[in-house]
Amino acid sequence: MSGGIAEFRGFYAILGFALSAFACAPARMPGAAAPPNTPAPAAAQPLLVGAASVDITPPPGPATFGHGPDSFASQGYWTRLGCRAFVFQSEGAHNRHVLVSCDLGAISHLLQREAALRLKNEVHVSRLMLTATHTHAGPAHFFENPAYSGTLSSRNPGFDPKMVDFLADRIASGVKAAVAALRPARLRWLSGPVWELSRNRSPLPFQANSPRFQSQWSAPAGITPAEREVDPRLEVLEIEEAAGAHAPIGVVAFFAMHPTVLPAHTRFFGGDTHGVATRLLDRDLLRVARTRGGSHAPVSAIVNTNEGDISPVWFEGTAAEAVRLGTRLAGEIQKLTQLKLPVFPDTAAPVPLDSRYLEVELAGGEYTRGRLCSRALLGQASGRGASDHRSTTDGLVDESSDYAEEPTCDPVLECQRPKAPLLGPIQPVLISTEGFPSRVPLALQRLGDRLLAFVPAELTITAGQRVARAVERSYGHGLRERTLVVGLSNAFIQYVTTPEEYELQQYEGASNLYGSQTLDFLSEKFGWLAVSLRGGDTPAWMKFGEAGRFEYKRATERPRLPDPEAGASLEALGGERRARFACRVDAFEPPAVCFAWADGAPGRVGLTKSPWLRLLRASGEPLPSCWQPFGEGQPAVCDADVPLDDRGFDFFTWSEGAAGKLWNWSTLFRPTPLQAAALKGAGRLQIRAGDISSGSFTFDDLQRCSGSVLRRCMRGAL
Amino acid sequence: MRFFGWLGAASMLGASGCSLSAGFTDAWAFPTPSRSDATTHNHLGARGSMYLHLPREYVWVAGAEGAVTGQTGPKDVNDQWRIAGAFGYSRLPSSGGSPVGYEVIGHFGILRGAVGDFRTPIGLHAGIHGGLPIRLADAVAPWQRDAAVQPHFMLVPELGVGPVLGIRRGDSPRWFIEPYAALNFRVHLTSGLVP
Repeated sequence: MSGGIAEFRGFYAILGFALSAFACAPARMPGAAAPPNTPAPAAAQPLLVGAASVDITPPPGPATFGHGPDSFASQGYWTRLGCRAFVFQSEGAHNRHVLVSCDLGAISHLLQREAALRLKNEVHVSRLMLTATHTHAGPAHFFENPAYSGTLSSRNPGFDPKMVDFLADRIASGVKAAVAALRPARLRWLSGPVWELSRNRSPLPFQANSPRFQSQWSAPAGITPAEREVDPRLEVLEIEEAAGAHAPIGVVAFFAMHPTVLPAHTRFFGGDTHGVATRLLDRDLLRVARTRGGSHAPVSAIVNTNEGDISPVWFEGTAAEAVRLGTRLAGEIQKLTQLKLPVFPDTAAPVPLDSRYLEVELAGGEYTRGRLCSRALLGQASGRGASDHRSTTDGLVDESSDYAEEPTCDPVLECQRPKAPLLGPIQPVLISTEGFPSRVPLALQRLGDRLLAFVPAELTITAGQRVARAVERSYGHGLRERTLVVGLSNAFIQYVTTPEEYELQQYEGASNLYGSQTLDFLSEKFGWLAVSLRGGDTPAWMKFGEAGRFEYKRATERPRLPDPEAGASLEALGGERRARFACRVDAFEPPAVCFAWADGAPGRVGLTKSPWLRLLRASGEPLPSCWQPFGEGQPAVCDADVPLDDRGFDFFTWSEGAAGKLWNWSTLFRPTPLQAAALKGAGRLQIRAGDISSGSFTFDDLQRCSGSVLRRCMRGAL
Repeated sequence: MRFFGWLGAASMLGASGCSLSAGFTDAWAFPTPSRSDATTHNHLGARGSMYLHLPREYVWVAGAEGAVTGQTGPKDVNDQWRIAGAFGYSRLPSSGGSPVGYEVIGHFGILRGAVGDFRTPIGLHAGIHGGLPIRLADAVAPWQRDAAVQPHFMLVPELGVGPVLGIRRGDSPRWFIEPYAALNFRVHLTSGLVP
């Protein structure tokens, strides 16, 4: 235990005063003011693409992010969290663009800037696009603003700079690995509809739109209205090596759906549906790469688009359901990649690759038809939670107070009308009047024949379509239906709805921070980005590519990432680190194995160096993962190159807490029926947590878990 | 309904940093040099306090203190009570880290009763004290301390000093400098909803 009476020093009080005075001072966002250099292209150079993935699973302790006060402190993890980095380069290193998709709830502006600082030799900050899958089972505490690290943003809220460093370091290492893996490549964009996987969770605001969202595909007969009122568009960017047998480099899928099957109260980190889908796709791509002589492990990523009002079609909220829906999504992606469409480059001409970046001020932000509200405000209905994950504070206040019908003298409230402020006058006290992000980055990228609009928000499908239309109107070149809104990118300002949706002040509209005109404001800015991207004239005051330093209000700092120095070192614990018990849980079909052991503190154990948990033969040899490949009639696969460990989704691992110097840990290994059948013939097995072994067992000779042991093991029944 | 909703939310958040203390205090009052004829006296008694930790940092506190003491010497007049408003800086021990915190709190208030050799119908007192809140429970993991409302129990030794002014009609005011010590048992309510 660090600290204590003996270590207390009187000057801490004085230091505290000084620090608190310092805390009141605005923080400064790191940045580079100069736009990227864009020298004239040299001789035509081939498109190069590199991809790499990196693990970002923190030790348990930080809260999850996404469900506000219902996001509890994590106790362990289910699927690991990861970031997948793709580096695109054409016409030399000066035209290098990076796309990183992370298993996070959102991206903070500070995280994007800090990652860029670590990558200043690899890519300009304005070309580093970080985007979140929007899992609500990723960590909190890396948001610099009081709104997202302060009161009610999660349980045990607080901003932890060490969490920012943890994530930024790993993202940077992933991008550097992708740069190192750059090789000549070719691209293929694929597109198709996916129905009955997602549904519209806010049908009334959706129906209030005029014009409404229109899909280019017709919905199949017989599906529910909520399943019809979605954006079914699945776009897949397939990247292959240009040389040889065209081994896959990676796949990036763009789809509009919250990955929120897991319950709001989960204490397990996990990638939810999108985490499952990427793991399945990685396995599939690895097999293809092997057959084509690929030299690098391929990488898959899922990027969320305009998912603001779109939820998965979930009923149970279990891990098994997340696996089922994730498998469906992966299957749809894989099905599209079977299409043999034209690829870039199909001629000697370079692949269109360019981008524009613009940071805009939202508070009072001006645009042609007016200006946004001078201060962000959460509406009363935002405290209720989305319709498929109602907050525990829902019902505290009756719904009539969600609307402010009467004019008011307060210019902020009047601008935000009919939004009624959440918690009334208490909101600015708790969050501060400058507690929300105000300066945010927008970016537009051309990649092949698609335009990617990176927005730091969750746009409803109708709002997203209006932004896309604005881009296409300004860009021209016949790129209709070729613009994708990439939500949750580079910063976070919650939802952006259409003015019609805003008027109804349901959850999404009440979470639209800067008033009903936000969508028009963004559409206009994206129009200018498109004009600039096509080489047109833009106002001189628009500083494209600049990411300068600016002051912001920083959230209350609290240490939340487990300290790697806290608690006794693993060496000091020595032989006290040991297996406690292993038993069989017959409550599952097929049965699961529960393994408990005593180990170091969360910051000390080898959890962040994947894999930590492995199922091995008693001899120590790895066991292959087994799964059913996509496509009907395919035989089951057991692949030794995909070992059975916690990088899949069979292990549910958690800590129970400290017991003296040691910490008690447990894992629940829940094999699929296919996996369980394969294990029957595998002889004696062992589970290893780092270097601690359960001892050898077979499923049949393991003792049944019962009593208090069973109760403890069932904590992993996510 | 709106009123009760707000009241519920405010109560929940207000409980996020509310300290309730009860303990014993011992104060020794010495006359100021300008009134060397005044009597040195000593008080011993019970005290209570309540502080609210203020958003958004939850380290600044505001609240009230009160005490009922008996004057142990001279004993001819012996009871006194006092109340005060308080404001200060308080870093309480965390549930998962150091078991010891620190705080510096100032107060200003009124008193009634014995002040040395006479009774004052109304007097003034002020002061500043430093305390070392000590957590009375083992550290717990983050997932064991994220409930909406949680009580924490602490022992808080304090040392302070401040002026006391006794006022009685027909007499000139009497100033004292009062060092004091206290030992408090504190119940601190926190919320996992605030930093």
